[in-house]
Amino acid sequence: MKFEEKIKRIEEIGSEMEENGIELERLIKLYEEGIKLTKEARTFLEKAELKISKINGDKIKEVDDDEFE
Amino acid sequence: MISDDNILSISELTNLIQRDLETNFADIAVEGEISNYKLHSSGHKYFSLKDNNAQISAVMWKGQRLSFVPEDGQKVIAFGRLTVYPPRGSYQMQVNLMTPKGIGDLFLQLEKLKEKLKVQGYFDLNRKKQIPQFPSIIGVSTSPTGAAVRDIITTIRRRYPLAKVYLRPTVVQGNDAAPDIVKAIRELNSQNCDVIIIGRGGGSIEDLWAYNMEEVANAIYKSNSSIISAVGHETDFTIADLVADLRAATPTAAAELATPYKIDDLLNYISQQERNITDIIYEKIDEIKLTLTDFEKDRTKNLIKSKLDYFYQKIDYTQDTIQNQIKSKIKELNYKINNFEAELKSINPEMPLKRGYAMLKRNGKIVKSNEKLKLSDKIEIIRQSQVNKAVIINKNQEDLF
Repeated sequence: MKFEEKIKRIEEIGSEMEENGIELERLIKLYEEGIKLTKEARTFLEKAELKISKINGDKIKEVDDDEFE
Repeated sequence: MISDDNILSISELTNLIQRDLETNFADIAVEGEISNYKLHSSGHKYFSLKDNNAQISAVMWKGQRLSFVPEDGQKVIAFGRLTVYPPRGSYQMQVNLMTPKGIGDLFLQLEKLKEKLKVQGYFDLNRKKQIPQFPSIIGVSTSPTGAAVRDIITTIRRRYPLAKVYLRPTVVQGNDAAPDIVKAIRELNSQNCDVIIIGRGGGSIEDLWAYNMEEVANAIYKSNSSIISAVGHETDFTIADLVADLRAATPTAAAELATPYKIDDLLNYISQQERNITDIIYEKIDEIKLTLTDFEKDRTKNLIKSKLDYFYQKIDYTQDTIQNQIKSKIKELNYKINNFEAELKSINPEMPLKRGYAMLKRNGKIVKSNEKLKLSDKIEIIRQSQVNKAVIINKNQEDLF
């Protein structure tokens, strides 16, 4: 799941949990899914490191970003 | 003949001149040489435009854009209109736009191109693409050296290191620039960039010229990826800026626009969402607990009722049992009473009389067998149907048996 899909899903989970008359079992299932997704999203953000590649025609080459410091 | 009616006041004449000049020369372009150029401290620029045989005063107000520093003797093309200043009886050219000669021709072309693209809808706001909120790949077309690329990368790293940056080193000025910019946009499109920044640092209007070319406008117009332009600086609008989906004043600003969310904001948002669903689950569990309590109450009620029913039944049953027991007890008692009666009957002292025995009484009391009778005691002899009075005359006692 892409990052923004995770964010969207987390928002959906919040709204569904707020519905009236939701069953306890469903509630707990959603909560667990939500917590799992927030953890994944946070880890993804914390681990993020900018990657820079140079494009030349149809070739891509990752470059060290020191040259742009 | 000249009559008084034909005589104009100076003001009337000047007003007529003003009306004629300002109407007929409202939109002019002239070619000339600058002389007596003066930049006033107010920001207004005063100078003359001349050729070999004539000259005209000119003014350029503070707000008018000027992309070069005019010098005396410089050949320019000036766009503007004539105005009359009645107090001095002078006229002058009010210049809106001025370019060095040579570039001036380009400006004419530029204005024509702008008009054409405008008609074709290239600048319409409703065809501009949205800038993605969470870009995976940010394409950058700019010179691989210099401040622009550095500013862009530094800004993206600081704000949104989740993205990948695809840098397409691009020729940004000179004759090769426009075709290379077009190629860069195409190549970055085929790498599926979510958004492309096309930009360069500031420069003279000639330096930025590639971004005014029609082929560049077309490439931007046809791009599938959103395009943010950052060409030149605040005051230099190029055609690329007008066609692009978003225009940034500087390369740094372009990188900010390409990354609408900062990583810190996202982390905060995620924590907030986490708190939100945690709050909800606590709230809901409390709600469910309440419902359970109600249910429990109902259950208890039912429980009590069934217990009561049981007791009632038990009571009914017990009652029956007790009644039966009482009945049998009564029966038993009746039986006992009957027996007792029979027994009682058998011990009635009068019973022996019926069988022929007699009973003695002294002073109205029965004389029991162990009581002694004395001489002269008066007694009654009681038999079944007869009572006789007697006196003891012999006190000698003899054993009867």
